[in-house]
Amino acid sequence: MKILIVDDSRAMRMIVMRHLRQAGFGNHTMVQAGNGVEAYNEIQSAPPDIVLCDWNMPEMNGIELLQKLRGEGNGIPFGFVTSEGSVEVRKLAMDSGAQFVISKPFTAESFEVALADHIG
Amino acid sequence: MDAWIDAAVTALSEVGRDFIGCGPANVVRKHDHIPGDLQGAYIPLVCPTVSFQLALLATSDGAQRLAKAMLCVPEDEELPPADVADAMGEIMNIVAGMVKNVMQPKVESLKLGLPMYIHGHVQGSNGVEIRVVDLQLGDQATHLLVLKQQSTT
Repeated sequence: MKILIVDDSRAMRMIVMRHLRQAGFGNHTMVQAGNGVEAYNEIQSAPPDIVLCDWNMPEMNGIELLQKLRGEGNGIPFGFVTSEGSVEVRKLAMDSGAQFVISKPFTAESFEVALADHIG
Repeated sequence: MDAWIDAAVTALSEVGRDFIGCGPANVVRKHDHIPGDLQGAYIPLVCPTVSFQLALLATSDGAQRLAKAMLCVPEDEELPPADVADAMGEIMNIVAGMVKNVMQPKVESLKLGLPMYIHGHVQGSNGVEIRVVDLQLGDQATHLLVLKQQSTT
């Protein structure tokens, strides 16, 4: 399976990938995007199996990306990995069609639990 | 202001202990003098009535060490400045997000901005309330800066 990791921080993308490997998902392909626009283009050209996306990003933020995808009928599994962990943000994420929200700081178990239903 | 500082110190301690792996934050001293010759990541938390800037400051070597700890890079490898800025910015992104969760019930419409990395002395101006917390983050000396500016509208 292919996992798309979207975050404007290269450091955070590396940390997410490390935690994914620790959670047992290291045998899956991981690709990266630096903002919502890059992610959207990647999803169109080489669709991943799941998207892990930050919330606050320049160009196009995470919720804008998700709303654009769902608005076009794209039901790709999509989860947020974000420092925005408030009830309101979670509600907006789920109402917009996200499958899960992982709050920073996270653990490998956070990914294990969140991705279990979506990745074999 | 005290509630914001306490929330930021608690968040930084948790991030240092559980996420970076360098250890919790221990407060050494609180004051209102912005230290010079440091570099650090600044991130805004704003609402209609008040704006905050939270920052984590360290020496060049200190910022390198924190970034390496976060990225699990060996001690003898040198990170490029952009990677240090990125890692420090992400530390403050996480800290500010945790502060926002704590303070949101007390402050309406609180929004989190994007981090910025700055080298050099930041000058406080009239109307800006300044608090500095000198901390040991594990064995690394750092400074948590909280700047508060009330809206005039």
